[in-house]
Amino acid sequence: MNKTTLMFCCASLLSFHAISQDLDPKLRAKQSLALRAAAQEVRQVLNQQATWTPEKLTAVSTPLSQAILENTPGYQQKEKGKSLAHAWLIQWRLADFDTQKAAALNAAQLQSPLPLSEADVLKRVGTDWQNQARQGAVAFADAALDQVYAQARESALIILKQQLISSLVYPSQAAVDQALGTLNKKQKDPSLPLTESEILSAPLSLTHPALPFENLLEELSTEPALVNQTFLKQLAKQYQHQIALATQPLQAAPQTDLWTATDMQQRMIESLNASPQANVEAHPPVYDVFESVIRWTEMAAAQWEQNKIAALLKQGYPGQLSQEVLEQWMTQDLSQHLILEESITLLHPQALKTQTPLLTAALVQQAPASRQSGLQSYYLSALQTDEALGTFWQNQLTQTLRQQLPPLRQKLAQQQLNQQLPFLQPEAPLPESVLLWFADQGLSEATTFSQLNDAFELPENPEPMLLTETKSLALQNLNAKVQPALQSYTAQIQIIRELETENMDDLKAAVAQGQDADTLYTHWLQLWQSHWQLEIKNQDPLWQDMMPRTENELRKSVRQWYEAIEKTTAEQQTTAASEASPLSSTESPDPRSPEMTLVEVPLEPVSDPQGSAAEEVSDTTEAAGEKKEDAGITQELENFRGKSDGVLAFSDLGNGDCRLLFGAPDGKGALSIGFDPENVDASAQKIADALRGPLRDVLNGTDSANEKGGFRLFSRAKEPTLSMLFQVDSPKIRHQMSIQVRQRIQSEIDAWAAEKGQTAPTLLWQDEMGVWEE
Amino acid sequence: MKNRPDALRQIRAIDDLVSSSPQRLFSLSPNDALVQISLPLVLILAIMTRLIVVGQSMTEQQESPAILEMWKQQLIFRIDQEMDAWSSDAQLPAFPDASRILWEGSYPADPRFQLLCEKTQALNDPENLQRIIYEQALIPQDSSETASLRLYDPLSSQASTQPTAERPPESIITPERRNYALAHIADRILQWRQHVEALQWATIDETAMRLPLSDQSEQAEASAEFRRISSELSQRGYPFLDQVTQEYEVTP
Repeated sequence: MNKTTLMFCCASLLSFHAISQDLDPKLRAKQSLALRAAAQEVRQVLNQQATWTPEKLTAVSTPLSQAILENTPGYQQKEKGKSLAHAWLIQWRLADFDTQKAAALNAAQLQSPLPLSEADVLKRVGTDWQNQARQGAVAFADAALDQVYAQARESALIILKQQLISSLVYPSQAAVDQALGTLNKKQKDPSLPLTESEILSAPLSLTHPALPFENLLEELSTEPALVNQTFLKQLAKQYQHQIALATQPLQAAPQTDLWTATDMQQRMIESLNASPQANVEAHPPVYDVFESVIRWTEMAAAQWEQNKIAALLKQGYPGQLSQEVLEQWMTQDLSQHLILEESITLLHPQALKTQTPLLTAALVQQAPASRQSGLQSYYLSALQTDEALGTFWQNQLTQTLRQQLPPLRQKLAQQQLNQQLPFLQPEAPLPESVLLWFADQGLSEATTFSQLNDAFELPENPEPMLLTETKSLALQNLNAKVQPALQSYTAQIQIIRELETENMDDLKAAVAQGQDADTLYTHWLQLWQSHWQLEIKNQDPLWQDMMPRTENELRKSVRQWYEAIEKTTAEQQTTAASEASPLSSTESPDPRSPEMTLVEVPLEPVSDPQGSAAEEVSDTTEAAGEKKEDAGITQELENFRGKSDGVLAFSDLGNGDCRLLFGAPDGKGALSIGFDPENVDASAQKIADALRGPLRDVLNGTDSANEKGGFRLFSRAKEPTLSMLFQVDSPKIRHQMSIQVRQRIQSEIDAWAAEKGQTAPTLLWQDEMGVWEE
Repeated sequence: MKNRPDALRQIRAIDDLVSSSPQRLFSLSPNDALVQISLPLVLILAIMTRLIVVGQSMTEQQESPAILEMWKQQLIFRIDQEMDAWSSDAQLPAFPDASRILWEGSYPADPRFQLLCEKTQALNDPENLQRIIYEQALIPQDSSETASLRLYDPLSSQASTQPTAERPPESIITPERRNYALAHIADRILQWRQHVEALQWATIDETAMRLPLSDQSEQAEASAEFRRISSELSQRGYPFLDQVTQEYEVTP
């Protein structure tokens, strides 16, 4: 109770004192004057709020640069950062206004014996002071933005760059070793040291603990890459320096105390001790010897050792592998060495077994006596393992075999040829039977040894005992003989064919005059000789005489022609006598009809490979399991016999679809196919695809008939023709369908003729109304 | 039914008593504090003040004679007459406080206050004003005044040639009596000056409040504002006392 009373007493006294002070006019006047001074000051600050003067540049740009550094993501893009800087300037100006306002208030408070209220001061300034301050700050920001932002950004860039360089975190030794190891794995030739460009592509990057590179200002966006590139170049220099140190022993004069790869690597590593002391704290750090360099010394030393052996192989050593030794090994059982690869496979282990001790002896010969034993055991072991040195030595052996075996095998092949196939020596004559074998087979040269065997009708096939080189040599020699002989034989037969076409009219006249066949043969032989004299200079001297086969061919041809003309003349006389009438001369058959294209005299000697081929095709088609179906179709096609070469008959199937019956009247290429008449394009394509094979059968059959007609012999053949009957028994078949099918058949015929190398036959379309030519 | 609230109050009082604790004894409401503490305190203060005043009066009565001497009565009487006249001329009674001053806009527009300010410039030299009033008080008011009542100060500039010995001792103002009179005048001049200062400070206060802020760049300090206002008021015919105008020139 006493405390409370005391407190209230104190409060009352203080209140009394305050009230008495408030009542003092002097104090109140001083308070008012101070308040007025503060308000005046604030008013002046407010009036200056929008004013920008370059003198403030440093004062404003310094804190702005600090703001940029604190918010680099926001200010990353220069133009985007401008809006942020504008907002910052407004806030800065408002804060500056608050500061000046507080300073004015404090100064006024020092001049006033009574307390001043900020609210009173601001009330005195005006009710709109906040809006004025804001507007002034915006105007200030507008005016100052360009200068202040430019300088602040420049300052921030300088600071950022300093921070970037000073606080970079470089990759550790382990990271660098790992990266260089990755590069080593990608190398095509790991025995070569890494190049500078390879090191520059190393997946190493510097980091900054407090400054993520992705948040750097855009002016510094390339700076991390440049810094990284500089670091990688420095790294490459360190690496290359280490490589240079390690290479010194390799480039030094030959040293007598280095005998193995281990010796050399040891020397290289000793040389690397001269590299600078590692200092990971340096900027950039100085690294210790890289693991990649250590690995490289290992490979370089191994390479040095291999080069040493290669030099010895090139120089030669006692007992080195020779052709004499190889021939000796091969001739022990030549049948095991028919193929080069088999020979190498067989000889390699033998060579390895015999040559390794010899090479080892040569290698250790110059070594000190104290080391010779150790080196010998080392090389004997290392050269026969699957490791680098052993592989190198075995590859060298293989290479040696590949170099030495071919001439040796060629020599052995020649020996085999002389012994087992003496008739194929260049000076031996070619029997005519062999020539005729090739002519009858239609071969221009021998490509397999079995052909050689058949041509010469060898009693025992020597092939299993011959080297591949021997067989090649035999075929080469045979073809050298056969090719000029065949050329001569072909030319002789060709003259007979030319005589057939050129002298047929004379032959007819001679037959009509009653000359006998022997006289005619003598006459044609003279003609043949005269033609051959023109051709003989183009032929091989060994084959310039008329071959017996040629003479027989000429005699046979004359005999057959003679008989054929005689028979035809007799038939014509018989026909003229029996069918002679006034109309017969006016009603000559249509020259375009197939009957007119038939040959006048069917002759046997003319070969007919196409016809037989067509028959084979037809047989093959029948063999494909269509015999039953073809039987009905064939009967249908029989109805068109004599009307045309081919039939295209369209009819209804009853289910809305239509059916096409195609084929020759004799049943060749018989085909029945159903299709949708509404879908013209698809159906036309379907028909064309289905007709491709059967149409060729018909074409081949027609072509064969034309050739059998002999028009090529006794008259200048007319243009070949093909008549096609186009019968439509369905109203669903549109004109468009008809046109498309005809076009596709025409194009198929063109393709067939192009394949045959012949002129395409003229297509004669025939429908219900008659025959016309397209 | 009428007694029910009392019964409830008693029950609540018993509950409060039962549930009361030492801490809750100090939890007074503002109304309780006003009634139980502040009012008695104010009464005590008032009584003490009154007792002190009474005591002082009794002391003065005991120290001074009950009946003043003749020269003192006459001199004080005449001095008061002179001072009242000077006060009236200076318009002091017209301005018991600053609220009587007439204003127009930001500045006072009051001829009487102008007169007051001009007249009270004499207060800047209080000794001179003191001497003038004293001298005026020694001059006889009319001829009917008896010789015994005529006060004579040999040191006065208006002293007559009549020898002092010929004058009754009651009318001669000795240096002690003179000092007494001058002290009396000085007390009242001091009161005038304080009053005028208060008026002038109030005028400055009011002007500072009324005067609009300037948009021109000026020195924004209280002293500058004071000089600016006092200068303007002086030009408008309201000269202030030196004690006022020199307020900000004196180093505190």
